[in-house]
Amino acid sequence: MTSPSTEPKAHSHGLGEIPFSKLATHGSFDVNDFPVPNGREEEWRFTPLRRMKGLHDFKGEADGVDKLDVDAPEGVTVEKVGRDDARLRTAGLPADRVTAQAHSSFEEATVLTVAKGTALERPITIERQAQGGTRFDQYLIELEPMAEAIVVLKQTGTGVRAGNLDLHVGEGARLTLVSVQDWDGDAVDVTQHNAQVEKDGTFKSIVVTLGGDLVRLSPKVAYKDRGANAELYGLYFSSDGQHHEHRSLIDHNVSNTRSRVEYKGALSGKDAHAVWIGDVIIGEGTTGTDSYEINRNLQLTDDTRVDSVPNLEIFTGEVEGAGHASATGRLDEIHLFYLRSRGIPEEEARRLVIRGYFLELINRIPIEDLREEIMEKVEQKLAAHE
Amino acid sequence: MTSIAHPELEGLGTYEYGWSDSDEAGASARRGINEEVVRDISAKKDEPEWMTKLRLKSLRLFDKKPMPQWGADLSNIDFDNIKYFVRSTEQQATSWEDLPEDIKNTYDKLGIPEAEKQRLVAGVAAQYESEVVYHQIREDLEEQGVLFLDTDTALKEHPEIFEEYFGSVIPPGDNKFSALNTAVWSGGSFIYVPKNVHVEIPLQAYFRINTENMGQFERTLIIVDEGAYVHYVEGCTAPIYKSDSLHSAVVEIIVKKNARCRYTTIQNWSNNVFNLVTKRAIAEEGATMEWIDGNIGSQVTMKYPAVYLMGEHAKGETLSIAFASEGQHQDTGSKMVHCAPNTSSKVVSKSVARGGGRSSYRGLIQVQEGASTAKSSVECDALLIDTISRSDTYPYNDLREDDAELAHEATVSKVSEDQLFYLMSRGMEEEEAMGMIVRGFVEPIARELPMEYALELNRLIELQMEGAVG
Amino acid sequence: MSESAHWVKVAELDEIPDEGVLGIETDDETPIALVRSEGEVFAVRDVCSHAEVALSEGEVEDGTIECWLHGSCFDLRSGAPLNPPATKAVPTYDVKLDGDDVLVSLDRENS
Repeated sequence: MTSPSTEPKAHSHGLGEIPFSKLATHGSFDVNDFPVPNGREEEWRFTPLRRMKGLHDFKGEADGVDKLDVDAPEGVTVEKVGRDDARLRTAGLPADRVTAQAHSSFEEATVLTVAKGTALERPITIERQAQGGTRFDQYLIELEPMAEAIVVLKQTGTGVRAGNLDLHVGEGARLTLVSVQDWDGDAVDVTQHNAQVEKDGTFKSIVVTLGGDLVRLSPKVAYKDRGANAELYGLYFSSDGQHHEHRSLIDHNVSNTRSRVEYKGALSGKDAHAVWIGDVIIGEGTTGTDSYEINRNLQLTDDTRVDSVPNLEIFTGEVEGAGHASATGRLDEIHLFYLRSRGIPEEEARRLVIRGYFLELINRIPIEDLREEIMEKVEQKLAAHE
Repeated sequence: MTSIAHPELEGLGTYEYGWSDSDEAGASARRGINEEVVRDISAKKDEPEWMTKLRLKSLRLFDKKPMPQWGADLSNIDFDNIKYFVRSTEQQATSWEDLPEDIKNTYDKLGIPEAEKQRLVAGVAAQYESEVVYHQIREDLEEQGVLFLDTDTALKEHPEIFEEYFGSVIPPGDNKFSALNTAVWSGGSFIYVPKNVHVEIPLQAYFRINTENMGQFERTLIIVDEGAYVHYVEGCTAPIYKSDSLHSAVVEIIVKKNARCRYTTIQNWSNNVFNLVTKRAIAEEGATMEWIDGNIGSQVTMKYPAVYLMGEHAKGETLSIAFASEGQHQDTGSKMVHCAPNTSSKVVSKSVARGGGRSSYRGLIQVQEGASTAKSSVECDALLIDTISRSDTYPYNDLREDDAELAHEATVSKVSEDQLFYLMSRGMEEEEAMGMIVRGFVEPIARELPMEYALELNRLIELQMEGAVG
Repeated sequence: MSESAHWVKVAELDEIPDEGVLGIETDDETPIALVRSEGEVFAVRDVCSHAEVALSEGEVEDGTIECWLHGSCFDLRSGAPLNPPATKAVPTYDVKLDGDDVLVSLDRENS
């Protein structure tokens, strides 16, 4: 029946010290270091906890099964390792209770290592199909110095998933990660990417989020030395009721590092909700940081909601350049009008405008087949609303 | 410094070190807050029962509500060591001559008497400690039906209008400091501008804290009736003391259909003051609300003037400057909440940090469902003068309407070497050149200020820039 | 309030304090604040329309409930906010009494 909520609600009265940096993550590998969120916390206030299927206060059994296919060319070592493998604790800390839960609960981790100086002839493909249940995961992709690799992670199926994907980009190495969240409509996915970029290394991430009921993806980047570069790109298309949340954090903790963040989304259908939090820290005493981030949103129908929050904390005056922009609007009427005046029917005109909107971003994906596949999926989602 | 043809500004430079008058009124006031203190304040003011009840309820909310866990570090505020009510004179003075000698002296140092003489065209309400002690309204304002009173008097003389609007824009429970203010408020300005009345001159008020550890909790309520216009100017300045001071004001503004209100603040509290202010306006159909907000002083300022755009075609605008020097944290910004179609808002924020100071922009743009074709633009520029200062930008953009447009841009830059080199090659000292660059940076906002305030701002920037170089 | 509505017993009347509120959750996890004020019983969704806060933690007065976190008051009859920062109504539900049992119908969200 019903359960009257009789227990007293706790209110904080403390004159707690405000953390010096709001954005710096005070993470932990241990789930017990995080209180159970109530939804009012800064890091949870955009996420509908009710739809997390218990992930934020996990008490059940991790009974989920994934079908995992890793296709790796020569020069890549693929390992399954236990919890005690020291490499699994070298990347950044889980920043919230759910990713800490994942780190506290995973049973076996998948580790991919690209050997020193190896430039892979073709991409590594990881196809992950979730087959229901709740599951916690840990992945590590390690590029040794001067290695070059493209990794495509394609995620489909259904279930409740939380995990950490650690990425270590060695000195002078170049890693491009394409992570596609093409879950079934009822899936929940809470994942953190922890990238560490060594001297002169380049990390490029392209995140494509189309599916799921609730996806919360937090790409975090830390630099180990000068000359390190990170580019985070994201594309999301959120339809009826979907909650897509992306929370990037770039920590320019050493001098002469560069970052670019560009996330673009489209929303259509009742209660589609996109959240983008772009945190950038330019650390004390650093010089020569070059940083820019931008988020654009296209609200295609009424009853959609966008939260766009580009946070910037700068602790030094010696920046090379820093800034951000956020823009949200509707389809460019002028553009549409122009196309229609050329005799193109409205439906087709809308399709063309959306295509143009996402084109530049999709073109950053270095694999042609995948580009076409994603454009097609975007158009399917668009067509579903006409 | 170049000479300024405004003698009333000559005194301004002298309070860079702060001063204070004898502390007679403050010594007798109790420290700390409890139900008895709140009842006592209400009784001393001979208030109606509803206000006493509201104060007590607000005190309960204040006790219950958590300290903000974001923004600036407020852990040094000791609520038990603050005097919540200080009466500096038993009766309100009706003319300058009636003011007590030590109060006149303080204002002399602030340059106010001279300024007042020049500004006799305008009504000046000077708040000394917790109560307005000096008040003068030009006769033609009264003839137009404009009410410009201190808030305590307004409660006595205009109880109906007061009860209707007080707390209707900012409820006591809005945040911990609005709850505190509602429990212990004293003084502040009350303005009512009748329909279609255009107040030609800016209405001005000065505020000061003069008792060590004394909180100042003024409460301002402005109602601009349909088609009317008013510009209110608030300037703050305070002498420096050794221990912390709390200033926690609440400003509520109702701008009715097709009316317009501009609210200008130059805040220059001394560097030990916690300045935690809630300012919010409601703009009805076709109304315009403009906040012009300069934050130069204080140890910590947390202030985010808001406009709730409730009626069609309502407009909100905030222009703000923050200047954070050594030991200062200016956490400021603006909130625009679009609740109706065709509303528009614009925020321009300029901040300068030097000497290890911290300036943070924190803002919210929200477009509610149904606010179709709403438009909003936000522009934040930060200038860093040295390598040890810090600048943050925390803008929240929340859109729930497809037919809306929002653009937000922020830039952070350091003082250009080229500019400095150019100015110095023209024979300028580095400090002077730096001051010029900073003045240029804030000029888009300075030009919106009344003349004497623009000059005062320039003078304040010069003071702030002293020692910025080297 | 049609008779064919699906009524669910959610509480007994004496569980709700007079001029007070009781927060409950229905079987389908809808949070509801049951309020007694001015001699009537009201049901509103127990989440403030402004932030993720249970209204049942707030104070009840003269047919209104006040959110404790940011001070918005809501009219219990219409769900409409009476002052900022909330600007949207909270859903209200039909309530009826059967003896001491408080019944709520979730068939219709009025807002």
